[in-house]
Amino acid sequence: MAQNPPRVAAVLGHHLNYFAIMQTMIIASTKPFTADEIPKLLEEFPDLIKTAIDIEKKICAAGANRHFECAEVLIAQGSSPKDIWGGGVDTETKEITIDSMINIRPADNRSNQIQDPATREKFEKLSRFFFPTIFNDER
Amino acid sequence: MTSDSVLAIGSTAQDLKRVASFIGRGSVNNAARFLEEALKNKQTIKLNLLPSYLRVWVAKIDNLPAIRDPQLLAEEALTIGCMLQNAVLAAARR
Repeated sequence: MAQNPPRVAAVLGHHLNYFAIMQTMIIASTKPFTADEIPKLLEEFPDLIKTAIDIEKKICAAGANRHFECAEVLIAQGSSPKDIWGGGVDTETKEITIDSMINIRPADNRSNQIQDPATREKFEKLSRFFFPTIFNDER
Repeated sequence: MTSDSVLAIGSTAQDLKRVASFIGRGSVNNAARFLEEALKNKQTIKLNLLPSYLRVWVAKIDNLPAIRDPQLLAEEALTIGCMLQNAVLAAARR
């Protein structure tokens, strides 16, 4: 798999930032992703959107092959690493994933899963907020 | 999915998530042990009973031993493990 450093191709839009990393499109947004954007976020995996969410500023970066690429986009925009948590949306099962290697923090989260219930709840709630087109028709 | 499939996929998912977890803790030997377990459990999965998207994820397990970068291995194992686990959770909901 390619290990080249991220390459920012373009930054545009009033609430969206588009980053092309190799062939991967990462989109960072403070608003829900639109139906038109979802296919771009599924370019890396056809049934999984990896996300990193700043749960304080309520910004989501999504669409990368690896979570740290999404986290780097958020950090570049001023997010604090301690507020960024990784997970994803499984578009086949409509499950929200709360596992990521970026979640491992020796100080307060020793697992790759988000362990603090309040943080987990925030992450899941924001995941539903950012992906209404995926979750609107479920359960 | 049959209950046998759910069990086999669930076990494999747990093994893969442990691979990532042990790499995260710096225990590469334990990670290697659980990767072997995942490969063994994968053999018990009846692929023909799975939806096609899940067959693709299960097939990716075979690529894991060739990954030399532990961080990349952890990421890949965790991603596949999560997708397998999600399939089990979805099957339990039905």
